[in-house]
Amino acid sequence: MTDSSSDIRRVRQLVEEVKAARVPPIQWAALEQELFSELEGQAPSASGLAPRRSGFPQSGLAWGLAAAAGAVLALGGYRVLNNHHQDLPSQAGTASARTWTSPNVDNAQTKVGDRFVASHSDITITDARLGKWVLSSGGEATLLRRDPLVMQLAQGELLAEITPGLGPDIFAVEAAQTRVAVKGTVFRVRRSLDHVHVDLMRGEVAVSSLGAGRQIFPLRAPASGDFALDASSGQVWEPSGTLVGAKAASPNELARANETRGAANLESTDPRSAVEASPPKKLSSKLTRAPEQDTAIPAEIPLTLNLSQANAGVDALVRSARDCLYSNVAKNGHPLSSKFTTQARLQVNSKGDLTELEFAPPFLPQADACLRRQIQTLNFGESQKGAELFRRLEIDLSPR
Amino acid sequence: MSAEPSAATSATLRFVDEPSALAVLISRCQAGESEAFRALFIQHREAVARIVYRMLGPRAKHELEDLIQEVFVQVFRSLRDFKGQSKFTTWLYRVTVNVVLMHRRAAKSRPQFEELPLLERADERGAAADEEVARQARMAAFYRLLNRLSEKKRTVFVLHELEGLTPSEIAATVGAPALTVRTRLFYARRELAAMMKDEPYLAHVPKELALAEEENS
Repeated sequence: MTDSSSDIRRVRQLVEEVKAARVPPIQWAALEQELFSELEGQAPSASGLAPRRSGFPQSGLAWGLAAAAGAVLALGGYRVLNNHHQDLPSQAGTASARTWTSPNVDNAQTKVGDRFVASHSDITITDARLGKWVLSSGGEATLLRRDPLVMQLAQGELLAEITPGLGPDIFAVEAAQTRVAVKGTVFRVRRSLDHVHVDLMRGEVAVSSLGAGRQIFPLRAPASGDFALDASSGQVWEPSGTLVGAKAASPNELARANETRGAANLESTDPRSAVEASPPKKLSSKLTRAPEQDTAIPAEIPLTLNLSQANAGVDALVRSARDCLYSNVAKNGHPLSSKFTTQARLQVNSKGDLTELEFAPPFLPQADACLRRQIQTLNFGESQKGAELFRRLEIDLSPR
Repeated sequence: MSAEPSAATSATLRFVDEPSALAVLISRCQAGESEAFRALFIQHREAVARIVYRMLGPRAKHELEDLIQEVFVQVFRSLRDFKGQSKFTTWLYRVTVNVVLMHRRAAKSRPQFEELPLLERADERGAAADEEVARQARMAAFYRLLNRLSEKKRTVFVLHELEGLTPSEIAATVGAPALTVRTRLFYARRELAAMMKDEPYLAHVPKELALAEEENS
């Protein structure tokens, strides 16, 4: 290695250390209050937004919502005031959204845009159909959507117990740019400044990015995961502390993973991503302290593919592909040393059999035929719905 | 074909189509809904905080909140001009970078005080405390060097190396061709590597890091 590349490597190592440094704590509530006070003082012409009446701009829609809210209060307020003191929002944030601070909230009373601020005690939001979710003390969340119901977790922790059997995508929690989508499940999402932690006690969730790319991390109970705020990287853990899947986004991690695990374990749509080498112990210790009832849940056929089985299946596919490519590519008498990269689409049925397999770019016809012969018995494990997988495969064709 | 998330770790799958959620939120903000802007603020404030902090380093600790607030004031003022032709985050990053650069330019005309690295909750236990001191010293030294880079190189370096943006994303953020971004990145790395040799905290410490890495592998 030249001095120059060695120096660059040192810069990268230092960068990794800088990246690990956390942003200092920020008083978000105070900052938010100050910001919105300042915005209220902005002149309409400066803001470029619609003229407003009380500082903040009000559109026709907002006035319409205000009128509707007024009508709702006029019609239903009496019952609410007399029977559901605990369900009342503590204050009216604006005409169109409210802030709830009381410990018990009936979801039927809430509206999109409502905020939940658990300053001193937990807030339990119950819904006759969906189940209930608890915003832990210190947490802050906003109801973003009604159907499917989406709670945006601004800070703190939210524990959701969602009624099973309601179908997919009925409830989701968003934290920063990460989404945790739910299908009848008990799970907890904790948001901190630089990552999102998910504990899954029952059922399944899918953690994904809200942005482009849509990386998906499926979790099957019992499991936990730590994810970057935009879900571009993350780690998923089983109760034993075993790392069952991970992604990371730095070139250094990629290099480390190459060194420690070999290229066959790399599996990503992002060339910068990699499997991390070793799990942090604190995660496994958290999982081993899981409540007893979490472990008493009977085993059931997973809704979708088991993560480790899917990974093992893809690994086997890569091995077979390597052998078939190597034996069918003309080598002109010279050792072959190159990498073949392709995007694979796999359709797996509920029995775990591979029903469709496509590559782009495709393999040579002979290699493709060889591969399909070799993987006839490949099985990804049983699930209720099967799955469709998209993988970027890097196949190392260097001699063994 | 299933539209649900159902794949292994790093697979990219089709997912419940939600790209419009942010667009809806932005259009609500543009229509003047304060709560929508509050939701937008909550959704993106930490990304903004991270970029500001990483562009300015530990010395930004005292002005971090002011700068975040300034970014969102600018967003509030300019959001009407956002036409959705680029990703919102790209636009937001551009606003954030501009606010930070303006701040730095303004700060140049003010007296500068070199802040010594402060120990933040350093562990009292011997080796751990030493390591923490060393780490903070390295951080401070790194940002000293980073500040010696030109504004343009520093910006692309931070956005790429620390924030993970691709050159094309950075190109859209800073308004320069992707090739230029790559060039700036190349020279930023090279200059940093050269400067590290003369920086007492970094001249030997990274070698130790490299050694540790080799041992681990």
